[in-house]
Amino acid sequence: MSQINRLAEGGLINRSKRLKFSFDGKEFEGFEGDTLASALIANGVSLFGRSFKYHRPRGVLTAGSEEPNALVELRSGNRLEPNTRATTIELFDGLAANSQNRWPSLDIDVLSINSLMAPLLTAGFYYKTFMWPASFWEKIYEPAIRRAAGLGKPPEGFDPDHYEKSFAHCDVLVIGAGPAGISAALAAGRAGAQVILCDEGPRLGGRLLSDKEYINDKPALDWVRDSTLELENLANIRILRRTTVFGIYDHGVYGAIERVSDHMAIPREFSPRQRSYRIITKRAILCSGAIERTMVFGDNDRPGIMLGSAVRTYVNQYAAIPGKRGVVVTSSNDGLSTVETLKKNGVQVDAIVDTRNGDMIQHALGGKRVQAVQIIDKNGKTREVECDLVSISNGWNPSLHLTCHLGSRPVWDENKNAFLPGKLPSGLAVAGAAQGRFSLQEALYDGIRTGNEAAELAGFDPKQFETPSAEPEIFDHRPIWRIKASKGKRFVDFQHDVTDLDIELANREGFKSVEHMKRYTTLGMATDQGKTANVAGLAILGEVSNRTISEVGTTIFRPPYTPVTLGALAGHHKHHEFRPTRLTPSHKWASERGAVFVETGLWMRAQYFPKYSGENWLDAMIREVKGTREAAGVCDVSTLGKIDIQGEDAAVFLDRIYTGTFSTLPIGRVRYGLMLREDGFVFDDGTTARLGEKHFLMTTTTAGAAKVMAHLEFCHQVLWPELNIAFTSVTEQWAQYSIAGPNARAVLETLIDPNIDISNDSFSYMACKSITICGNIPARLFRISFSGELAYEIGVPNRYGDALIRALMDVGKKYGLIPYGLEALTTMRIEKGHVAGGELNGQTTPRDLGLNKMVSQKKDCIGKHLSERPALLEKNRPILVGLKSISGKSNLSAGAHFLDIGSNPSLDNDLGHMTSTTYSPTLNCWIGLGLLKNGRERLGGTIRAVDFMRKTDVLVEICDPIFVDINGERLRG
Amino acid sequence: MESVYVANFVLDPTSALDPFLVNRRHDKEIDNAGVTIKEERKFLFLSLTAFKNNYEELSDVIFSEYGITLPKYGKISRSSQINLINIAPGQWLIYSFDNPISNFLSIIEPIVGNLGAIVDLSDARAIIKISGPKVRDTLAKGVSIDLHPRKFTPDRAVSTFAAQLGMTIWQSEDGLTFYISVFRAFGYSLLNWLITSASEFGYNIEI
Amino acid sequence: MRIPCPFCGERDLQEYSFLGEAGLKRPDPEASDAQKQFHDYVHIRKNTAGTTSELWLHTYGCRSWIVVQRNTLTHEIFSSEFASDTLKELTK
Repeated sequence: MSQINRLAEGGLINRSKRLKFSFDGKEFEGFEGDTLASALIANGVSLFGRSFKYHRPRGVLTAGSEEPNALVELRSGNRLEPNTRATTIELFDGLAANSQNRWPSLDIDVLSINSLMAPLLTAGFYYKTFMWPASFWEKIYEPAIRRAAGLGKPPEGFDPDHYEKSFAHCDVLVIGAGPAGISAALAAGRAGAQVILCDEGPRLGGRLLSDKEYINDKPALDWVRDSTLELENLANIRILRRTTVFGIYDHGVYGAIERVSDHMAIPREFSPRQRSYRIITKRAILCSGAIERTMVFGDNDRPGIMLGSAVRTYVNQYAAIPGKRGVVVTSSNDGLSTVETLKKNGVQVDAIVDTRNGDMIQHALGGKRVQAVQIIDKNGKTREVECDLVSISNGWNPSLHLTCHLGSRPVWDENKNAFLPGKLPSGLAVAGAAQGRFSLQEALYDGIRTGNEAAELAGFDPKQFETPSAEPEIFDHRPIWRIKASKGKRFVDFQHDVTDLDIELANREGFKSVEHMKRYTTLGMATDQGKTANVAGLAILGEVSNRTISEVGTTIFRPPYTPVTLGALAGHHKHHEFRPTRLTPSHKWASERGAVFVETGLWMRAQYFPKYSGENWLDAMIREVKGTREAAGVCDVSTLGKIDIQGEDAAVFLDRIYTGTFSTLPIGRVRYGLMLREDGFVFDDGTTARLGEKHFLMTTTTAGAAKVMAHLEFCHQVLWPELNIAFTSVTEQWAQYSIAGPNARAVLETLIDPNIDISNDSFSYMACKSITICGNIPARLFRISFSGELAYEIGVPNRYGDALIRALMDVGKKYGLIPYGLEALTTMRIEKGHVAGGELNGQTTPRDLGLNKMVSQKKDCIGKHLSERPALLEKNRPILVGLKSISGKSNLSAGAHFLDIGSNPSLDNDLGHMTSTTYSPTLNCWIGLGLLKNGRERLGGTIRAVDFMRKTDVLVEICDPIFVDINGERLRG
Repeated sequence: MESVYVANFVLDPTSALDPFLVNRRHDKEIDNAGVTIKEERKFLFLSLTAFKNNYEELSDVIFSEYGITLPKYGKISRSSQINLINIAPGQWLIYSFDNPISNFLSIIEPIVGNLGAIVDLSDARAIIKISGPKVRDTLAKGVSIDLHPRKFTPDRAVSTFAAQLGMTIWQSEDGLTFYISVFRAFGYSLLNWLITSASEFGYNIEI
Repeated sequence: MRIPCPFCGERDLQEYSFLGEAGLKRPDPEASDAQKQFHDYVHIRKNTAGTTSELWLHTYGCRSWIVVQRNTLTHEIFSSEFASDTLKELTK
């Protein structure tokens, strides 16, 4: 068909597989093995996009992931991917891509008018403009900037693909599968080490795929093919293709991203789109090669101007010629090889500009494509040469980005005219071009040497074998950083449209440090991290500030090396699987019952049980509270932490960590326990039962369970290792239900085995014992009450949890037993003035909560001393009171602040805040608990509760925090 | 109100995953499944913590009763009746899957006596066993520990954090089956993660 | 980061919880200036940029409290031991 620039033969493409694709709506054909860039080039396309600021026409500069220009929008709908590099997209049948950052079309982009605004859009313009008038910022400037900013647009909906993450372990990780990487993997693999070999691309070979080199006097591709076969057949070698190692982290952890399905229209069933890896290894070898440098001259960004190495890649690997009439510009020997490559494949080379002879390229003419170049020779004579392709070779920058990730800075090498890796992360070795050893022979040699060394350090026996031989190479490279006497814009960072003048401006304005220059000009801050721009940028900075490159130094790279999609870092953990879900023993039963659930940490707890579909939470809660206080209610309280404590010193230990005394607790009794942090503030509370002489069962709040366990272990292992004691978490061992209300005892007696007496005389308030139910099923019974009613908690081994709730609801029917959820539980505890989350906020002391009597004065405990700091004993510290809505109707908000009537809302006049609120079905009005300055002295008074967020300002009466049954008669009945 | 004991009210036990598997649409048996997943439903699982200075004595008592030593350094000891996993210094899990002895707690408590603390955790865990050629590849998706057979041998157990769950992992003696134990309430989350991770390899869930 | 546990071996950071500086001794509650001593014990820290001694809990592993010598600038870890002598004894 119309692949006008496709060579008839050659290349590593599969000509038997034709693929159809579209770019900006236009249909094209290519072959399997093409990238989007190579296929478009083969079709004669040279215009790929418009630049970020000035909307200049741009073409492909490179053939790799360092590409700054050819960023396209790939796919559509919810699979849309902006800013994808056309040079790395593997072509598939039906691929649809669009150019970005242009309107209405790539060809005619109205916004290219920005070019005219260039003098105003120089570096740092946004620090100097859009300042005045201040009012314009919100309404005019910001919206305009927001519309114009950014490159590409994101998809609107959820990504239909799934992503994965995984771990991998090995003895040696080889990063990059060019000649150095292949050699290293062979060496380590032959020695028997477990090797993982990663390469960005779909095939092994690196530069050998693009340059016609020879190994052992045969075409290098033969060596690649044979080596690949050997590597694939070694069981201890794992090859990860299409996998970029994007970061190095502490202690031998490497991040990698595998593009599992990007080269297909949609992923295979059950296959992820991409997979991220954390690879853990003690030894890694960086064989990432090098990236070629371009030159800075007038209008050096015209489409058709490419790196020499890219030209050779397109011609040799993809059989696509990027132009018909070329000019080759070089400052080193390897650049000259492009001449031969072009000529051999029918491309006219009308000029060779070797800057070492004093010839310079001054200016590139053309618009949507380069049309000619202006060359100046060492005598000052200029001439114009017509062309549609310009190849630039200006030396190489080792791809040492990963070596910086742990903070070390690269070091400039005068001889190689390149930055080389500085201090290497522990366990990392570098081979070949990444270490500034640019020849093929050095790559092969380095690979074998580092592979053997790594295998040996891992405890294996390296095999001896000969290093393959390659042609000796002399580079004789003398870099040209900028050709100043040229017309037109001289671009340094293509993706961010940063020119040499921007660097000069930064320097003039005092941003001389390379770190400042980077941020002020944004050079190197685009998605390509300035891979083709940084070194030229700091060389120019050095030139205008009279410093050597070494003196200017370089900024450091941070992970990721190339962008990583967030989905691959999350993997399975999104939507409902974002965190694991913890389900209570009654969960299934509660769902069948239509309960509405609420998340409490990872737990799903029943919030309320609507009697009919659509009953709202308030009506349900009122019904549940009334039902419980009038007859009986059952609630799943399994989520509270339960810790089994045994040992000689169990009692002594409890005395040290609780404010109260537990060594005096008789067997078969339960006591409320208050736990402080060492700084004196309340940490957690719960009840602890004594099951035996040396056996206690502690409970904690749901949210505090893990923290308390860690605290107990800290106190034991770090503070008092001499104590003889053992802790075991049994939160999950017991399904626990609270049964409360006047009929609670009757309900229980239907299930508790007959020989067990739980009458008030035998089993009074705060008693506990082991019992059996339903014919010898072991259970534990505790007579404790959070609701203030006659109440028990019954625990059974969790396997019976589901059966027990069903049994209770069955037998309880005739006693009016109803289920109640968290909403009703909370209401009842507020009615009883029990402190919970809102009050135990980490800023309250026992005294603040009116629990001073719980603090024994006869012994020390964790937090005792600091709870008595002078400031915490001050008279006007906010203390716990109850609040009642005076009008009875208005909602009280938790978080509302207390102010005297008529006083100005200010910090000085702030008297405290509301900690918990609820509608009380028992009192028929809104009530709350709060912390109020001089609270106890103000009982009976009135105060305002103000919430500016929810816009409420309510009058409340200050009262005792216990609203219901203040003498606790119902508890003890 | 007068109460009347309801005789013969039977409480049927359920396993951690029972409530969720009963209504699941089970995947058809597939040939060449990469993994087979099954819940271990009836098991004995106790925690044993040696009291200070009683370690040697406890070791002797266990050996004389069961013929196996208390393992150290995260290892597993196996006898015909019980298996011991050392999960922390001075702490073991006692487990038995095949024919777990009922009332085991009342048998072992007097044997251990004052030498250590025994706590029944048989209801506190969900245990899933997973086997098949792709077990390690499946688990590698969340487990950061090297499970390669030369590193993770059948005499070892590890407690770790994987797929956002605290879990203990070990193998059967023949190395063919992996056991994963998590807090009971997380059983369903564990199953979901295993299924997602195994989906590319094909899996069978055995009820 | 990967932290070595004296019982479990080297493990991923996710398995651990960090507390803070190690080596602080809980003051004697009977001391005459106990409150001042407790204040320093709870609030005053050296906050070294460099090698420090830290308390970590191996939350999802063996649940041992360990003392780790680590350089806070380079993250290099030099040693890791049980905080409790009893545990040290048990693993001899």
